Amino acid sequence: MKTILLAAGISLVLSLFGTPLAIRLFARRGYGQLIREEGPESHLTKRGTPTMGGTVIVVASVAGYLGGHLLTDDPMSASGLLVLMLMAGLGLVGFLDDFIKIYKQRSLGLRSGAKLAGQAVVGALFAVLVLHYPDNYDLTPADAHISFLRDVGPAIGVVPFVFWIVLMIAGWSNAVNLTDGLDGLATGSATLVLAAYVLIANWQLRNDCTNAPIVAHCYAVASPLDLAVVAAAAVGACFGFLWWNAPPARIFMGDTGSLALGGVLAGLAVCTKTQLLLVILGGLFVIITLSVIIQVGFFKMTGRRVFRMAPLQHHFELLGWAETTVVVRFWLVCGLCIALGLGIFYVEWLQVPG
Amino acid sequence: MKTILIAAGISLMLALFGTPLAIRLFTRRGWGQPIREEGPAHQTKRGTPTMGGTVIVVASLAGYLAGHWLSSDPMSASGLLILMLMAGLGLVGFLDDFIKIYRRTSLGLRSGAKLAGQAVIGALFAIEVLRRPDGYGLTPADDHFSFLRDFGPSIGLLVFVIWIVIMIAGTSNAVNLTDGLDGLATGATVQVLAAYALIGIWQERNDCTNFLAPQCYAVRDPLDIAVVAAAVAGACFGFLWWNAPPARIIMGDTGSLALGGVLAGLAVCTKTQLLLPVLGGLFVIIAMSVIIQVGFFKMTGHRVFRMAPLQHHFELLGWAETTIVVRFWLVCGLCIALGLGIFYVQWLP
Repeated sequence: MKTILLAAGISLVLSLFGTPLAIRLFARRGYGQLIREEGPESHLTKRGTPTMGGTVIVVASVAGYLGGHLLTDDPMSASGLLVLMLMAGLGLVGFLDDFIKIYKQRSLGLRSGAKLAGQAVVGALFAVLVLHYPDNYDLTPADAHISFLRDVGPAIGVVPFVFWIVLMIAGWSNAVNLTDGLDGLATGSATLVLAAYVLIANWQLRNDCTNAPIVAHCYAVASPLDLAVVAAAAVGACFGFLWWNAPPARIFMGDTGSLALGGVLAGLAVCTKTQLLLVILGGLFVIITLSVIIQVGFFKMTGRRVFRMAPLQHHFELLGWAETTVVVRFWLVCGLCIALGLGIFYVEWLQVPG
Repeated sequence: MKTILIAAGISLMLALFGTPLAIRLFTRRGWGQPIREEGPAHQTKRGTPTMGGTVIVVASLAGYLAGHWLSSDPMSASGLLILMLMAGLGLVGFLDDFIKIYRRTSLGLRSGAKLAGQAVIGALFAIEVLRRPDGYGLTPADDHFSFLRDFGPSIGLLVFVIWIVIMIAGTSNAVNLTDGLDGLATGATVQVLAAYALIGIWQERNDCTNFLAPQCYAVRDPLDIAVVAAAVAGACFGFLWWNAPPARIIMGDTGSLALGGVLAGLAVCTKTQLLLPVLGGLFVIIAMSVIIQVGFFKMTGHRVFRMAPLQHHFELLGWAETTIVVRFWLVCGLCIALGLGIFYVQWLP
């Protein structure tokens, strides 16, 4: 518990005080955001706001995690380290994308094929590694199963598992990427989902099969406490970043941030064995991604548009909602999805005969 | 658990769909907010309908009642008392708002009359919570100070009533002071209420009447307290949809006094009176800024802040209104993380 608080505190302080330094540095170097030309017109004023703020989030999360462990002599775990490496790896892919955008001075970075390939390589490495590294109880960070509130169904084999995880990781990091685009929207929503994971991992620790093996509804998760530490460190980092990313934003997270945050969410879901629950907890990201899929699919089929603009947040902007109204209302939707997801998680625990 | 979800869901729906009706009704009747003349350049907010708190109070009560009705779970003394406290303070706020609108000034009830109303309702609540034992002989509260549980010796009826009145007046005025930027008070209160829903559920799981452990909680009706917290959180959630910057409606004193009341009531009945200043640290900071400003000005003739309450200080420093709101929400979230951390660590064996 002490480690959780320390890690969250350290990453909070680092990002709170590190972000202004990044703003100054990036602004001096001219690492400003290029705004896609077909976006809402009101966004043209955002040109020039420094981007790649995600680097601060990634560095602060990793440093908070390491600092928390260093100060408590609590050993690190395979699960925690793998989730953080997934975060850092995807952050690197996003960084390359951001950097190419700035270097070439256009709002399109890595070609989408190259970006997807990067996500797939990092995701596949993660998927293979989580099946290794058993702990003293012979639990690996994840098993070759689909999971909802726990692992469900039969083992699906290594190859389908790797495919599934790659799909999930690419899906989540792109979903967070699409959600980014209004000041504070992606950061605030990701913070809420990460906070939910702090609660989930704590609950799994309290009801861990290695602690209380008698109880029928215990959880067989490797190192739940350390997963809570990772989630808390990422929450702290996002919190400090949101201070500066609040509307009107002084800095954007860029693809560095959105890919990294999508990665850490997917990684937490895999290791806490709640892969499909994340679809509910992160319902906002799912809705926004679906809006793009529907828009593109419908347009290709019929030549007409369903929304004035996709992703969904821009549709509401063009309907005349103020940017802050869209952001706050989307946060509320995100909060509702989380209440629903945590409710399902808790009710299932209540109902298993214990 | 079912009751919690149903109550929250119903009050959410009622507030989400009821608030636009209230906006239309209040606008038609011309119940707009007069803006205090010495405030920052908020003159554009003149005319935004106020008294949105009525929706919050009605939706909370209806959600609570309907949740119990649909799950045939019995209501509890603790839950009903907290809701009555909420409604009573909401009524005081409503009178204040109504007089403001009627007289077309930004000053409503004279501050003495408002405080008297708060004190009467607070005292009634304080006396009632000490009565009405349940089957285990537990009353909604005991005449004790409480932090994470009751502590210290019993302080006697009279001292307890005075203390509770101070607490209720303090909390409702603190929420009142925090109101004033679009969404600020609503969003901060939602967070504290969500924390109390968690605290109620946790106290229920570790209730001394369920299983006797050294760290068990002797709280009457913790689950029903969680239902109240969830119902009010649902109502605030739905209201915040319309109260988000730029606000289409303002909660007014009706809302801020009622919400302050419900927070104080939850703290008394979950026996976490002194944890509330940590969880609601944002409200405390803002109330302190006013006390410091006024006290320092009276003593030295100088001001500490450009303007009090604190949110206006930052406005005058040039922060955008939404920046202040989001940053203050973050501070509120931090205070809650700290408060829940303390609560949980104390429980750990």
